[in-house]
Amino acid sequence: MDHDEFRTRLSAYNDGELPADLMKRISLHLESCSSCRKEIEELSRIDCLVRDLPQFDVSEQFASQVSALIMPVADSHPISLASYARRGFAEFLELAEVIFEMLPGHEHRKTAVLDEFSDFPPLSLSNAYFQVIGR
Amino acid sequence: MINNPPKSLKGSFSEPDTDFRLIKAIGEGDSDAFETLIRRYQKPVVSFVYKYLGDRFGAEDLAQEVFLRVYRSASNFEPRGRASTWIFKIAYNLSMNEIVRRRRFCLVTDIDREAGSEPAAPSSIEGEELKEELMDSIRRLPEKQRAALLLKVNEGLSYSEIGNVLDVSVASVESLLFRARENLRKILKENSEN
Repeated sequence: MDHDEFRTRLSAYNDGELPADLMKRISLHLESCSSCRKEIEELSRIDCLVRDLPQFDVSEQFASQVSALIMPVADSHPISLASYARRGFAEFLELAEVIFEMLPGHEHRKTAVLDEFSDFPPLSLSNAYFQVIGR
Repeated sequence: MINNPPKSLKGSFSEPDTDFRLIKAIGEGDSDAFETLIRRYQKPVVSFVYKYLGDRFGAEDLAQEVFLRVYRSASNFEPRGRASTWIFKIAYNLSMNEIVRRRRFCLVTDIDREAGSEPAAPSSIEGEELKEELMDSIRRLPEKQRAALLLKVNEGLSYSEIGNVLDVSVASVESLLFRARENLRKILKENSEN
């Protein structure tokens, strides 16, 4: 293997990714070749520069935001149960209200009579409508 | 580092838990395990996507999509190699799709520069200029060379793992990295001469 061939393997040598025997041969070559030693230094410098590039600052809420996106799927069962319970309770309240209104002495809870809304202007369409409906 | 535990762990998962256990739990619908995995990998994944696409604003959105893909695929995950390789493969594939999409719609622009965003915590003007120049040089590398370089230098993946992520042989990874470093050196040299 000549100098040029060694040179093309220096990147992998610097990463420690070559077979042991080739690593050894390149190490020996580096002892006598200043140009390849310089190359190795340059490769290490480039790697250092890339490694030292500023890291992207992930927002504090990133994990919880992403996690929240899957929550309706992941926890659909418990949410459905709670929802059913709330709906059932609301229907129970409605039924209780109907029964309560049927009890004697609660007539005042009935809807207001139409006469309370009869103050439309005399020549308005609303008044004409009211005259027809209210009779 | 990839396998560093997150600063605060939610739920019952902590440092000794392996990624495989987390992924298995995610496959069974455990949302605490999912959040733990996100905290463990959010920084490397977002950084990789950011440096690969060169787009600060799209990086978090795409990383979000990566983790949602992890969630959806967790039940089919086969524990071969490291979990990080699997996650980076998803990140790489989605980033590639994004590049193709942007090309199709002519959206390949330097969004950061257009928006005039400031790099974080500048140490010196000269240092900042070098970093900007380097980011620009990395963006100008061919896509596979760029991915191989970032996965090797920033994430510490082995050649075999990079080959798995990029779907190429180990010999191709060696060649990609050699050419990436050569190109980067040439670009930096040209920039310093101009």
